[in-house]
Amino acid sequence: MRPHARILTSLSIAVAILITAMAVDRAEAVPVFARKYNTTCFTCHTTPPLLNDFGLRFQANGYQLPGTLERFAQADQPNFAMGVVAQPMIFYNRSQNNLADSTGAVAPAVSATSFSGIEVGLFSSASLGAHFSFYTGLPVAIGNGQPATIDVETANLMYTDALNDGSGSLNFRLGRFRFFIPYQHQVLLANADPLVYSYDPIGSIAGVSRANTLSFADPNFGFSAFGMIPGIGEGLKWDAGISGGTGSDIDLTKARAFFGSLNQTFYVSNAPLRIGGFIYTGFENLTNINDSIAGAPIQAHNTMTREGVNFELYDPWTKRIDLYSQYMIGTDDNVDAAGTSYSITAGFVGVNVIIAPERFYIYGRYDFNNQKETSDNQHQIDIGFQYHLLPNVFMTGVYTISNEVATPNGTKTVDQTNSTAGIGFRFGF
Amino acid sequence: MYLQTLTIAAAISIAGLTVKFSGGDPSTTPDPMTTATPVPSTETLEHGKAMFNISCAPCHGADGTGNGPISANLRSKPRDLTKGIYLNRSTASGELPTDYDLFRTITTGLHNTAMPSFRQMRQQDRWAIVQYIKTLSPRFADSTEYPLDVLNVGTQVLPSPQSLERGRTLFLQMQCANCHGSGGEGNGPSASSLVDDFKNPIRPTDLTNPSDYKFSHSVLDVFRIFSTGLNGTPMPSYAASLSETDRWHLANYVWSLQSTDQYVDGRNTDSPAPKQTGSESSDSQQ
Repeated sequence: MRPHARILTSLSIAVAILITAMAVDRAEAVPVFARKYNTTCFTCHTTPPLLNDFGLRFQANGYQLPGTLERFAQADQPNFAMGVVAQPMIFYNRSQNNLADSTGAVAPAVSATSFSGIEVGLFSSASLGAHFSFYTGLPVAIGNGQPATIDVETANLMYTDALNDGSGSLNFRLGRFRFFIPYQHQVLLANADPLVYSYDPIGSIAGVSRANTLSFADPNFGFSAFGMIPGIGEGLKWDAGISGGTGSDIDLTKARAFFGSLNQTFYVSNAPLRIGGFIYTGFENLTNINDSIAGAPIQAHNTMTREGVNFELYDPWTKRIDLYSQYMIGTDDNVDAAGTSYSITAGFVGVNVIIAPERFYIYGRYDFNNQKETSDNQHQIDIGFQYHLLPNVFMTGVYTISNEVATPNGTKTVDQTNSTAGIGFRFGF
Repeated sequence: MYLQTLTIAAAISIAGLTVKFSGGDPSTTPDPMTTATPVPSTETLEHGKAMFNISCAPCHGADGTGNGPISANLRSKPRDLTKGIYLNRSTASGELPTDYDLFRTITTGLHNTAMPSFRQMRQQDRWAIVQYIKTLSPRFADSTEYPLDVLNVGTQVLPSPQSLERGRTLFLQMQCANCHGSGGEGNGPSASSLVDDFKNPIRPTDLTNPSDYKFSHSVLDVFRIFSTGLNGTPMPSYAASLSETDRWHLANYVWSLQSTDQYVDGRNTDSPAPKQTGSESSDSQQ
């Protein structure tokens, strides 16, 4: 089948599914936390996984309703919640290398249709009485002819509401967890991670390995204090902690990082306006086996910093348009034996739009990531939708186009364009 | 002082539930239990406001107008608390709720909506929110709103084939099927066009689905709704048009709809009819 015919076929199927979905009458289904608290998914989510203001407070309060302390056992409502999220999707990918060879010819585009497999996320979270709660997330990948894999992505124990006032102002967390970086994971609707979150200059250098990985967007092993203080302004969310990196072999003498973030919320006609900033800085020991001297690998010491600001605004008239952005700078010093430094300026601006409450949402995001030393400039646009058949069952579709051009020393070495269209379902139970 | 105020408020409100309510009859003996509660302390109100801003403002808005940050994404819009119009009451149609009514709503939530149950919130915090909520609407400070006419549930009529048959008859006579459908599934001819007093689209309860009952946990709660109505919605009070006994028959029938062994037109579809234990006579002639 020719590429454009495949696209037409895929689009036809997508439209047919969408029309069918719109004809389905509303029914009710009750996921775990909704069941526990006798409420709907939309109490905490704009559309899963995007958390709304109440959901952010629920999360900050150790998976208890804001203002509450689960100080006594509930005979008819379990404190333990366990859920499954599955997301099977079909993708159509097209990749075009725009770099001409010595004859001036450009290779034809490569395209393929693939099934993403079934990505299943198992999670469990609960409050264990008045102050203790936990969260675990176990992603399971099934399909594409590969053996099923399971990973412990997050697993942490929290001591919540240390001030004992139900506000969630001061909590502590130990284990593997994500620091609060807007707008990642539960506060980002777009399917693809922002480019800046996957940027890793060390990983791209052959032969360089590290004692542990400092990655500010991935779950880190460490300890943090965090919370949401409603009394400051109209809601200050804060997070501060220390990490030994993303690996479980924590050795703070080989890798350690400090993280801190502040996000202040104001309300304009009851519409949230958030302004914040974050910093993630530390060092990690590197080993460069390519530049060995006398057969011994050269040890290097990378000092890294990521710092940024973020901004979010809901339109104050309808509160259906959520505009958000983040700008970040990053440096990695001495990533190889030559003592090379790498620096980036990166960021994104995105929008989430409620078309029909509790049913239909669209989103878009523009990303950029400019690496200074190699003149490597990346740009990416994501647009997509989520349509709820049930509160916890929805169709999702995404179209992503990205472009990367690198011109180190004035010579173009990379000129690549990729586009991806995907459609599938997401189930949460 | 703070706890004392709350305790008094709780006692007044709970006691108020037992006061006679005679379908709007103003001749009912005035009772101090149904009058406005004492003005709470500044400390209580400040605490209530702080708790409200933590727990309630995301939906209801810091100003209580129901226009909170997440309201735009909710099909059933949060209540505008500045109007003083409440669904879950034990008072006559159109009247303010008692303090305990507000406390009960916060405690149990409204099932199958975005309003969760805050039963794990400390009692004193819930009572403080009740006092703060009352400051959001001028109705609560208006002396002409008192005394409140609080429902007396009278003598409960236990379910029986006769009671359910009478209830079914009343269900049809009172046009319940227009909204709730003839089978009570919330799919009546008017179901899709209903709006509340704030012009928000609403849908009638699927009476066959236990999870669709917003705050009815027993047949008594259903009886209460027939007696008080749901202020701000098209659901009227039948206190003036149906006798107390008929309201019990209607409540028994509606409550039976969510059971698998339903009574349809007086016949138990799944099991032998139970022995009649309640009032056998219909008082349709009363």
